Parts: sequence; C-alpha cells; structure tokens
Amino acid sequence: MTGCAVHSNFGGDPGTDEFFGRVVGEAASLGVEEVITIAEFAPEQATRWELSFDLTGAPRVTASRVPWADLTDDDCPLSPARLEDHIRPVTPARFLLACVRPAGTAADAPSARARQTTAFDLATRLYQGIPAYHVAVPVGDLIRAARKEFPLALWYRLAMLRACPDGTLIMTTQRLFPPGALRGDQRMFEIWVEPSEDARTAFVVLALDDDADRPDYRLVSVQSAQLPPGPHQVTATLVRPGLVRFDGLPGPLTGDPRSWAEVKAAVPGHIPASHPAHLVIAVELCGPQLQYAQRVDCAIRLIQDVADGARAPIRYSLVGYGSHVFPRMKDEPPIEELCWSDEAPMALAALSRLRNRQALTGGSAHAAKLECALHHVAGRLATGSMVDDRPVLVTIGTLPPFPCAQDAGEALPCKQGLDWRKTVGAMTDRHDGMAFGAVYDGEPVAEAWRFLGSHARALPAGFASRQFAAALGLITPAPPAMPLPLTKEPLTRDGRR
Amino acid sequence: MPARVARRRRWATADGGQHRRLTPAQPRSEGISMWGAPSSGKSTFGAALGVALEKHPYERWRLRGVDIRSSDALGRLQNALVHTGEFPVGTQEPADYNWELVNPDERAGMRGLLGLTRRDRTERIALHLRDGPGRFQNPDRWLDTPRARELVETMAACAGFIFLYDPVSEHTMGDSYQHTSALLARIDQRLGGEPGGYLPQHLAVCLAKLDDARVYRSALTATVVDHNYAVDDSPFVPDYLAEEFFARMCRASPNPAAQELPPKLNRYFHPDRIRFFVTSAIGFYVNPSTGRFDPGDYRNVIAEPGEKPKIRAAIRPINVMEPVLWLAEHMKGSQS
Repeated sequence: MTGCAVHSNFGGDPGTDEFFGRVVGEAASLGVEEVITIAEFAPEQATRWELSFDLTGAPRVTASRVPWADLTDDDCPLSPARLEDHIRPVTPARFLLACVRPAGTAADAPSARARQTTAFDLATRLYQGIPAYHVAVPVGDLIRAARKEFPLALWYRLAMLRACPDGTLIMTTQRLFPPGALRGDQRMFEIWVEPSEDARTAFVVLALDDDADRPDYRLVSVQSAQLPPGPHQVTATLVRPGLVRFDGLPGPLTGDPRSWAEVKAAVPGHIPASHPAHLVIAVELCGPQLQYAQRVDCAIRLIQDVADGARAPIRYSLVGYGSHVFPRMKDEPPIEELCWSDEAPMALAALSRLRNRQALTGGSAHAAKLECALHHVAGRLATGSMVDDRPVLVTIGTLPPFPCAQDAGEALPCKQGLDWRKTVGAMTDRHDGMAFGAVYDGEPVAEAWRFLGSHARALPAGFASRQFAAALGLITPAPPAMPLPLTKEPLTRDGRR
Repeated sequence: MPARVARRRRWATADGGQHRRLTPAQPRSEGISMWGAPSSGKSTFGAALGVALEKHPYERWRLRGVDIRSSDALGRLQNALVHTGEFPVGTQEPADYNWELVNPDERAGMRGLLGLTRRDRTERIALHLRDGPGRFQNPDRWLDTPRARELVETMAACAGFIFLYDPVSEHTMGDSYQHTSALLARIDQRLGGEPGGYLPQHLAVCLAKLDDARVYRSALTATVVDHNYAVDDSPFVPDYLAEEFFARMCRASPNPAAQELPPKLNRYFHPDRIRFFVTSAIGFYVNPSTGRFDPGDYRNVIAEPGEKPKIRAAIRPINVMEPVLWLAEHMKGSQS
C-alpha cells in the first residue's frame, strides 16, 4: 500500500497528529490477513481496537472495552496479567499504545486516572519498543476519522461480458480502481447493454488481490438497473473501500438480491447471431381468391416481423408466379418480379398492390410454375443481384411444381422443361448457408415443398411469422437474459456492427 | 355338289387355286362397322380417320357423310378435334352415323382413245358407326331392343369390323368382354352356320389410346415401341407386335374376363381375316418449335380437374387410317 500525508485536524495536538498519521500509515501498508491492534488507555476503561481489511478491501474495526474495575486483582488494583491478556496484539509488529488525556479535570476520578497512568506505564514496560502516544482525542474518534483516509487495498473491477466475433460470451472485468485509490476517485468507461428478455443489468463490483498466485475475485457489491439496450457512459466513484457508486445511467441502481454465483449462472453461452440476409419470397398467384389473399398476408407479416426484429441488414425481393397455361390460344402470365433487393417498405408496398389484385386464373390446376420461379430467382441471385448476403428463399403456395418430364401424375411437364431439383441444387451449391422456408397448404405434401421447407415450414392458417423467421435465422429468437453489461457492441460474424 | 357350294369354294381360293381351303362366305354388304364398349372412342376415331385421310400425302380416300345428320356430325366432330381441341365425349346422344369412304376416280367421265366415256370407278365403302348398349345398360337385355336388332342387322351385313378396345376405359369399367361377347354371339346367330365356322367379316382389332401415358408406358415396358424417325420421331407399335401388346393389355385389365377377348376373337374370325393395330386418334404431342417428339413431354391431352379433357396441340393420328385401308383392300380383294 502506498503511504500518504494526512492531518487529523483535531486541534493541532502533536501527539494526536502523530498517532493519527501512524494509524493511517499502518493501514496503508496493512496486509490482507494482518491486524492493527491499538491499546487505548482512557480514564474510564482500557480498550483494545482491532483494525483490519476484509477480503473485499473494506476496513473492519472492532473494539473490546474493559472498565478498570475489571482489571483489578484481589491484592492489586491493576492486574498486570489481566491487562496483558486484554491488550495482547494479533500482529505484534502492528501494535500501538495510546493514552488518552482526560478532557476535563481529573479531580472527580483520581483513582481511575491513577489506574490509567499505571496501566499505560505497565503496558509500555510490557511491550518495549512499541510506539506509545498521548492523544487528546478518544481513539475511536481518531479511527473513525482515519478510515476516511484509508486507501483501497485491492483492485476493484466491474464484472462484464465480452462478445467474441462468433457470438460466444466471455467473462471479463472492467478495471475500476487500483490498490491505493482513495475515496472520491472516479473512473469513466463505456458499456453496452444487449437487448435482453430480462432487462435488469447487474453491476457487480469484484475485488482482486494482485498478490495472489491466481486471480481470486471476491464480491464487493451487486446492484442492478433496468437499462435500455445500447451504449452507456458510466462514471464509477469510489465512495469508500467496499462501496462504489455508478453515475450516468438512465435508471437508478438498486440492490440486487442475487448472489455472484446466480449472476454468473444466468450468463448465456453466446449471443444469438443475426446475419445480413437477402430474403426472397416467391408467392403463388393462382388458385382461389381466399387462398391467394392468405398467401399475400403471410408474406406481409413475414416481412414486417423481419424488418422489426432483424438486428442485421436484410434486403427483400418478391417474385410472383402462376401456372402454365396449356390450352391453345390462351396467353400465359409470366413470372412477375415485384421487387428485387429492396428495403422493407418497398416490398410491403409491392405486396399491398398485390393484395388488391385478383388471383390468376386459367392455368393448370395440377401444378404451378414454381420451377420457373425458382429458375428466375436462381438466375437473379447468380447474376443480377448486387447483394452478396446469405439468401433465404421463402416460398408461399399450394401447388407442386411442374415436372421437368412427363411422369405418372396428371400434370404436364414444364413448358421450358425446367427441373426444380437441378435449380435448387445449383442455388445451394452456389450460396453457402442458403436457407429454405415454405408456407404450404397443399395435400399431400409434394417432394418439392418438403425440400423448400427444409429449414422452416408452416401453414398459411395461423402463420407464426416470428418463429418462422427465427427458424430461418432472419431474426434472433427471444433474446436470452443478459445479466451483465458488455464491454462493447458485439460484432456480427461478417465483421459488421 | 350343289352349285352354290361349288361357287363358294371357287371364291374361297384366295391364292389362285393352289390350295382348296374352305374360307367363310362373304357378307352381302361392302360396309365397315365399328364397335366397341361405351366411351371407347368410336366417335373420336371416326373423326380422326377423316383428318388422317385428308392429311395423308398419297392416299386419295376421304370420308363423307351419307345423310345430312351424319355429314353434320362428321363436320362437327372434326372441327372439335382440329379447331377447338375438344373431344367428342360426354354427349348423351347415341352415335348413329352413316359415313362413306370414298376413293375418287380422277379419270371418271373422260373420253378414251375410242371416244368412249370412261366408266366411273370411284370406290365407296360404307362406314357405319353405331353405339352399343350404354354404360349402365345390361348388354344382354339391350340386345332385345329394336335399336340392338338394327345394329346386329347392320353389322351382319358388313364386310368388315373395326373393334376398338380402350385399355384405359377397360381399366376403369372392365366391361369390354361383356359387350363384345354378347354382340358377337348375336351376329353369329344372325348369320347362321357359315362354311368354315367363322364369321365372314374381316376384323381390325384396334387397341386405342396409345398416346395415354399409362398405355404408352406399358408399351415401353413391353418393348413393342418403334419410332417414326422419318417424320417426327413419334412412337408407334408395329403391326407385327400389335397382337402381342393387345393380349398383354387384356391381361392387365382388372377384370380377368378381358383375358378371354383375344381367344374369343380368334374363334369367331378366320386367322387370315383378323389383324391387330395399336392406334391413337390424337397422337402424341410434338413440340411445335422443334417438330420432333420429346419423350419427356408427349401427352397431347390436357386433363384438368372438373373440366372436359382438351387436346393440347394438332392431332397426329397413329394407325387410324391403316385399319380402314386394310379392310378396304381386303374387301376389294375378296370381291374381285
């Protein structure tokens, strides 16, 4: 511990000042398991003061008072043995003797004063070489005043979390105050509060003994506050050893009944990752009007939820498709690209226009041009898109795709001879991590729809869009409890904030 | 030997008198009668026959209606097949058409070297299309109706039959044997015991709907398919494999009675007068852009739920004209 120049301000008594300075000096160099013992000889009693620091560096003072009458013996008004027993120091090297001069005249208690003087003399003889002082103020008052001057004995650190680029969370600490820090010392730093299901963020101050062979953190205090997600500038003030105040937070810190073990146990292993993505929605535009409207609504809800819940940038594309028209002299509606790689409002506007339209009619009822829509999407993703984010293809429909060649089914082959298997295979080969979701209500479930729903599958009726989006990795599920602040905003996997 | 019998034996020498084998007598008419189970595609076949004859680059035969009703029906059926792409199915009216195959004589009426006007040698073969008992009628009871008696009379007077066997319909209804058996028995009874014990007519057995995916796949499985590489690669079943495929498809019927059809036909008709064809009235779909048959896209029928089937593209009849020409050829040969 570092020394410090102090003044007692107790009337300028040299003995008192010297004693005060000695106490503060001893405390500054006191080891963790050492105790400063002060034998106080007052007119009324003999008091043994024990001054130490607990495991968190907070000063601890105990006093054992014995009236002079209890130190008498049968044949002696002051028993040396009893006195020695009473004032024996815990750490002999850190022992002080202090004789308190009476404040008034001692005429009213001459016997007591005589015993005080006798005891002090006896003590100085018993513990030769031990510093002995005559002070004008009771030792208790002096110790109380000296505590304010005690420097911090241990490192004080704030428990925090650090997010690795892959989302893994590691326990770490923010340095608050080093050993020797004094009351009123301040430190400013920044924290990041992660969105969390349980919005209380705990401020856990830990004490660390630098001299220990291995880090040994001890809990100093736990306080928590309900903080909004995001960065916060915090000012920590050392009120005294054992008490740290945090300022600059939008909410007040209150006592938290959780133990350090409970707080640590509540820390999740990682932050659910959210990546930039390109959400492509292919919507079947044919069939009964009710089904058609239901599909469009599903697409709207999905985009709204993704836009609200995604922590990473998402681009949106919409492709509409009908069915092949085989009868002669009838036109076939082409694949409609309603928007491509746009922001959510653009996609929602396109869907709003789509909702006001009528479903396409006149095509085959056996299948839809899903294979053509997939081919269109694959082509756009491969060449026409400026977005290199992870593609997520969501298909919303009822009918299976047309076969590439005549099979045993009733549906005629695709007019272009396109094979949905080849198209999907090419997309998955080209785009790592591509996810497929299907909102499908056809029966029986066609093979193509099973594949297109390989990451998420749902029915249009009662479509749980949030869970669907979460299954596709577009939004994180309900964020887990994050009991501690983070050192800074976590990085996404591709290095973007 | 009575003169009548001697005359029949002389007519029956088909190979110029080297063999004296007894063959059935000839019927009184030169017409052809078409029969088959209900919904076996008789009307479609007839309409497709007219189209096939007209499309053929060398044959001069054509089909015409004998009376107004039959003529209108022929035009309507052909228009449906060719223009609107519809099948003549679902009509409640029983088919009762009198058509005529005409092979015109281009030089009829011209004057020869001696200044004589050339005799009109236009060939005409009546083609009768009559519906048998309805789908829900008992064939045995139906035979006692006036309509059935008229059909039997017409058929007994014909020189050739076209028997349409629809394996798709048979797979659903399984009634081909029932309809065929009762009708043949009644014709046999009507004609009486002919010499040789056979019916006197020629019979073209036509296994229909080769274009249907199920029939086509069966033909592929049976390895009886060849391709018309000279035209558009369209598949067909050669005549010499047709009987084998017909028997195979009869065996495939869910009604085991259909297995008895080939032997029954062979019992009623002389082996020299029966021939098998695998036909398709509309043919396979050929992509207009390539003009070639695509084994991955060959169905020429659009079948949508709740709608009447439609024809997808231009019809390309397969073996529709051939049975009729074979019958015409043999009828002519028998009478010469």
